[in-house]
Amino acid sequence: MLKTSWRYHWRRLFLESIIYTLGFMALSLSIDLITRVTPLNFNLFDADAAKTAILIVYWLELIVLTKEDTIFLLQSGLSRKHNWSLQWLSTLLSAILLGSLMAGFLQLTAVGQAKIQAFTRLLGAYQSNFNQSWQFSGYLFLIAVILIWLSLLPGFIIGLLITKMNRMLAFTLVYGSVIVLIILITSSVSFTYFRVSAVAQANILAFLYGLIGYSPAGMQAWPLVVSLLIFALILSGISYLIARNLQVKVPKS
Amino acid sequence: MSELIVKHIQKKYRRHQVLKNISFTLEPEKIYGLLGRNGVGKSTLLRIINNRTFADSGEVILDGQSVVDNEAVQRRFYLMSDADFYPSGMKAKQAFQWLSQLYGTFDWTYSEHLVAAFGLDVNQKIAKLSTGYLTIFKLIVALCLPVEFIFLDEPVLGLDANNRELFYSELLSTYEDRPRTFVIVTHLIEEIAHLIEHVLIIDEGVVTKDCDVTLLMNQAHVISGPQTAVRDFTQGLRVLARKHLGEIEMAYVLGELPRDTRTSTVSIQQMSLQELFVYLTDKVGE
Repeated sequence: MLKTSWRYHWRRLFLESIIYTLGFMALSLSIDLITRVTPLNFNLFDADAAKTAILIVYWLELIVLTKEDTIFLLQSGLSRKHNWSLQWLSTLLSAILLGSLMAGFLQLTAVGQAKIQAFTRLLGAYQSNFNQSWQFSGYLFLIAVILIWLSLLPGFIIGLLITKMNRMLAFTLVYGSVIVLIILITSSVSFTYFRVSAVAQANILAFLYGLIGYSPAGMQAWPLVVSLLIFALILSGISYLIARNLQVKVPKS
Repeated sequence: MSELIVKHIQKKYRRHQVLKNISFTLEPEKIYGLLGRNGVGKSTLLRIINNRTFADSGEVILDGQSVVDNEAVQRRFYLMSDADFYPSGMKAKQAFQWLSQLYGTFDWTYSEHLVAAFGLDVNQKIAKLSTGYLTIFKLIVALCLPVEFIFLDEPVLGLDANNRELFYSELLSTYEDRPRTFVIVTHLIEEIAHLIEHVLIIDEGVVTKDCDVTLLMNQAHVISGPQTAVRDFTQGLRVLARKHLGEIEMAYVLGELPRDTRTSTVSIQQMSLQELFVYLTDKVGE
């Protein structure tokens, strides 16, 4: 049953999400080719716009897919534990697949290459940690995949939530929680920061910089990966708790 | 073939205790009728057994194992209900194929027969099917999957009289060919009275009747005649309800009748299952 569930979920994932991705990429590349070989200059759908469209469509598809497959597989007898792990692992594999497709696609166009260079510059401070340029490229790819995964996980959570509640409520709940959480963390850190001694302030700053690997001695590459993975684990934990307590009913809307 | 044991199930929705203490056993290869008034928790109970929702307490056991999140056990069950859980773009034919793979096998020959008999268009998307045809599609799935326990929650929803008759006859035919346990929840009690072997009645959160239909109906009678004669005859018997039509009284009695009824001036008829259910759950009578 688990094997068939995998096949079922990935077949839909390919047919309904990867095809959109490849379609957007093909469209963008065709426009890019026309712009290069003809005097016409179409700036309708460059690599940047294609990348944004791919992420948005993939994210929305993931919400629908999670909702429909969670209900279908659970009602076909798959356990909640297997249902969650199958879909959780799929979001991770999707992020790797999407990261690879996107990296390849961006390399092919001038606008895309500029995007990659901008990303490289943004994380350029970490470059000195790596002896070979391919190692740094691998690091950039890893960070890109984790960022894509982090953007997919809230979609996965919303998909799980809308199996038992209204869409708007699920969106509001997930976004509201994220915004409230960010406000709470920022306010409490700021509140503490402005009320403590200069030494404690320096410690707080050092801790915050430490989360992204910065220290006066130089930048370290792995703390950023660990910090992002901790976020991913928190989101995964939330999705696991939702899936474990999922009482499936089809929303009346 | 195994027994399914339901033990002390309780379920509360906010402040409303729907199921207070539900216990019964489903024996293999029997057709059960699960009856109860609106809102007594019949569907909730089926959803608990089929791992769609959780009980607050109590357990459901098959072969010594809890059914909760148990794939090996759940693939021996199928619940047909009004919930539409099929993906929006899926066609009836595709659903048969996927369910066949998920459950291991599917009775394709019988499904072809049912598709033709009911006139279902298997190339139609499930989301586009009419209420009646959606029910037919779900019934075909229920009857063709290789499961031991089939739970049918309102199985004739939206079906016209012809299709309902066809379904009842197909149910009996497939039951004869391959006996398994059916649990039917419906409010059309008269229509399933001839199908079911065992009845479970839920009222106020507990099982109030759990018995063989023939034995139960042998004890359910309508005594009619002049009021005084009926009163005399029913003295000491359990009268569920009385009705009057001028001088004539009808008493709905549950229980053993006096052995010798030859001298009596009253008429004795068997009560229908629907009448019995109505009077057992209506809180009217003596």
